[in-house]
Amino acid sequence: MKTWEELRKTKEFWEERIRNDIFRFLKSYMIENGINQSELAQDLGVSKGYVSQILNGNFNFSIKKLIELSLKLKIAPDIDFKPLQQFLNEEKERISKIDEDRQELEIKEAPTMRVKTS
Amino acid sequence: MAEFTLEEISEIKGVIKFYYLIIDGVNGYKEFENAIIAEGKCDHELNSIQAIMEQVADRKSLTEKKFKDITPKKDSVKEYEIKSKNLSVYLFHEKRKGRIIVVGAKKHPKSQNKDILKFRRIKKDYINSL
Repeated sequence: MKTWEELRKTKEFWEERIRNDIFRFLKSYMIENGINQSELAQDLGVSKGYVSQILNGNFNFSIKKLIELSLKLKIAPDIDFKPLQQFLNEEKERISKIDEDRQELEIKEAPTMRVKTS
Repeated sequence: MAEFTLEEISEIKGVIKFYYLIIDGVNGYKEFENAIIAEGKCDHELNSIQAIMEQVADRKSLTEKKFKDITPKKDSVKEYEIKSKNLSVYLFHEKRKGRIIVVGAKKHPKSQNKDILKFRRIKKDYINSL
């Protein structure tokens, strides 16, 4: 396996991240609005097959399509570009926070020994 | 009886821990990775698989086409399959530990059932060994 830093320098990492973010966004839109795939396709003015592709995480948007879809969902497609090293530093911080939280949880969940005193 | 050990995967960072299942000193997933890299046809998909593992570790929801619950009915130990275009990785959940990666395989309709049966046999042996 690659180190977490190496992984973030691969295009597959970013493809998975962006595709899955869009999948999650559409899924929560469907849940919030109580609609199914067909109704979502209708809302977006696209075919059912197109929605199904997105929900299967199997799509390769053009920039034009990404903007169209975002605007139809009343979302500003504000893509934030930043230096890779800055991103890696932020990720390092996020990961160490997760590690701390997990360790805290493990300590809380660890069985405690009860000592009976007379 | 095979000897099982778990090795935490330090590369996967997240709330849920990931482990390799080592059988008689052999890391089956690493062997699978090396074989895919040596073949050189879909080695880039290993990055996709690792990226999906990270999202699972972060407890993010994923489409079934990428991360599927394949637990048989009435089985209390959850089983999962991580998928890319040509690869599948089989893992299960161990309580108080995390996700245990057992095997990886190239997707093929003829061998998929065999791969899943192999995975379930290993999982059963591991659980019986605890």
